[in-house]
Amino acid sequence: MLVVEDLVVSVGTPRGALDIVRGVSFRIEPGEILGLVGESGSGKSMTSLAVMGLLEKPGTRVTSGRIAIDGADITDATPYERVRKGNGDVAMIFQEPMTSLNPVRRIGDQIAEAIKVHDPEADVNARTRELMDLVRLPDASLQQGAYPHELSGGMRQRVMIAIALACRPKVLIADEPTTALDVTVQLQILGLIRDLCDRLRMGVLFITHDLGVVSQLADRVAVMYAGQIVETGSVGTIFSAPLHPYTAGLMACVPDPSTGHAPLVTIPGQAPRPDEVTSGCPFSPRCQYAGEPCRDGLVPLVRVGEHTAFCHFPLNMGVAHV
Amino acid sequence: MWGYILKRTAAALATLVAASVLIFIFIHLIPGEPAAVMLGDAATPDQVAALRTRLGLDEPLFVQYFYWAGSALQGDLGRSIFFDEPVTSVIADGAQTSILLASITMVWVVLIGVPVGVIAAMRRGSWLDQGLSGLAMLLASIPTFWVGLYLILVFAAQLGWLPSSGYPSIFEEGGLANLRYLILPSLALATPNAALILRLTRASMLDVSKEDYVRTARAKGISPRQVTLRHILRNALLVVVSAFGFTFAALISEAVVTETVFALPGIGRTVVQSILRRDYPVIQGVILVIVCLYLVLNLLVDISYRFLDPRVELE
Repeated sequence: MLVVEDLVVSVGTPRGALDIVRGVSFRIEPGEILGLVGESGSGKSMTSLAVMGLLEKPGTRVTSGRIAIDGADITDATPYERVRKGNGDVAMIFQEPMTSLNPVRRIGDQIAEAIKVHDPEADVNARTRELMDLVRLPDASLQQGAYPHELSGGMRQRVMIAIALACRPKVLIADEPTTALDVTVQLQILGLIRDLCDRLRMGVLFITHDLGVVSQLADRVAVMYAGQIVETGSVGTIFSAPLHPYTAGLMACVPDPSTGHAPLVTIPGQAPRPDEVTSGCPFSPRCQYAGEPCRDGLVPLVRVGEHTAFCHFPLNMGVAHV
Repeated sequence: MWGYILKRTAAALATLVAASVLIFIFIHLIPGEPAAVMLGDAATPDQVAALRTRLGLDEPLFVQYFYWAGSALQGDLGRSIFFDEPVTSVIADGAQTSILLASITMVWVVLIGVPVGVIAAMRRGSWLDQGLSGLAMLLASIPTFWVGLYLILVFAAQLGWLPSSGYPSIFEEGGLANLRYLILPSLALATPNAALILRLTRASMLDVSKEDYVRTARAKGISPRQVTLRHILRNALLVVVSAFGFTFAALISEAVVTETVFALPGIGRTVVQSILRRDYPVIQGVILVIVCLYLVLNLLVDISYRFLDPRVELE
C-alpha cells in the first residue's frame, strides 16, 4: 500500500522557493487504480515525480511530508537508493513513449537492464520474454532485436510498461501514458493497465487531465487544483454527485454529444500560478458559489462517507451517495 | 548497410569532382599569364611559351581539366616547377609527417577532451566544472604557436626532456623512438582542439541528460554511473564523433603554423614554401590531397555513425 501524507514539493526560483505541491495526501491499496485529475500546472506531475523519487534536485525537492510503501519510508530517495535498500517497488511510465526509450539501444536490452537491477539472479532472456508476453508485445523473439524507432507509439508504451513491471512493482505510476496515442491504441493500453492491475494486485496512480479516461479506468479519483487535492472519492460518487464546485465545473466542461452543437462550457478565469496562491480556497476567485469565508483562512474538510472535499459551500450534499 | 555506404561514397565522389574543378580553375584565377607569373620577372618569352605548352595552357579549358583530372586519377599530379620532380613525391615526404602528427594529436584530443568533458558535465556547476570550462575557454583561445613556444621553453629548453624541433622519419635511424619529436608539436596542436571537444562533450552530455529516456533510465533504479555511461554518454558521443572528422581535417591545415614553429618537414611547410615559390602544381596537388583526406575521414565518420545510431539508415 502506498501512503502519501502532507507532501509538499517546492521549486527553487530566483525569488526563493515556491511550493508547487502543497500538502497532498492519498493512499493506494493493492489492485486499486487512483485517478489523479487536474489541469496543466496543478501539480499532478510533480506529485508523481516526487512519489517516484525523480525530482530534479536540488532545484526541486520534497520539503515536508512523507511517502511510504508498505510501511517503508521512501521520501526523497532516488530509485537507485530505493533499490539498494530493497524498496525499489514503485515503477513509472511516462507521457511520451516516443522519447522515453533510448533511441540507440535495442528494446530487449533496455528491458533486460531493468531486470538485472531488480532480479540479479533471474534468467534474463526468459524473464524478458515473460514480461513481453505480459504486456502482449507480439512475437517476443523478433521484437527483442528491434530498436525503438521501429515500433509504433502503442508498442513503445508496452515496452515502457514491460520495463516498469521488471521490478514487480507494488505501485505503478502512469503519468498521462495515453495522451500521446491514437484513440484506439489508447483504449488498448488502458485495458492492459486495468488487466495488469487486477492480475498482479498492483496499485496504480493514474495521472490524467481526461475525465473520460478516469471514469472508465479508475476506482477512485483525486482532483487536484493549485497544488492541492480538493476532492477525493470513488468514481461513482464523484461523477454522480461532486462536492467541490471545481470538480463540478470540470465535468461541465466535458462536451456532451447529445446536446448537439451547444457552445463549449468553460470555467471563467485561470488557475493561479504558484506564486499567486494566497490563503483561503485557491479556487474561490473563479467560483460562482464563493462567499466571504472562502477568501481567507482554512477551508474545512467535508466528508460524506469515503468521499471528501475541501469546501465551505459543497454541492450535492443532499444527494444520496452510492 | 551496403546501400548506405554506397550512397555516402557516391556523395563524397560528387564533392570531390566539384572540389577538383575549383582547384583546377584556381590556376586560371591568377591575373595575367599564369606561366609568366610562375616563372617570375626574369623569364624570357621562350621559357614562358615552353611552360604554357608543358602545362597544356593552350588547350580549351575543359580539355585541360580532363587532362589534369585524368592524370590525377592515375596518381600523376604534374611536376613541381621549383624541384622539377613529380608533385606526388614532393607531397609524399611532408604527408607522412603531417598525417602522423595529426593522428597523434587526435589521440590527445580524444583522450583528454572526452573524459574531461564528461567529468565537467557530471559535476555541473561545481568549482571543478567551472574551473575546467574556464580553462578550456582559455586554451581554445590561445594560438597554437604560442602554446608551442611555451612547450618548447619548458620541456625542451628548461627541462630538456624532449627535442624542440625537427623530425627524422620513423623509417630512418631511431625508428619509432623518433616519435618523441612529435610529442610537443602534437600537444601544442591538441590544446585548442581538445578544449573544443571538451566543451562540445560537456554541452552534449548536458543536452542529453534532459532527455526523457534518461529519466526512464533513472526510474529503473540503475546507478547514476551507469545512467551516465550507458545512456547519456552513449548518445552524447553521436554529436562528438561527427566533430572528430572535421577536427582531424582541420588539424592538417592548422598544422601549417605548428610545423613552422617546430621546424617539422610536414605538408604545411610544403604549402607555405610552395606559395612563396609560386609552385602552383604543388599547391594544387596539396589542396587536392587535403580535400581527399577530408572526404575520406568524413566518409568514415558517416559510416561509423551508422553503427552508433541505428536510426541513420532510415534517413
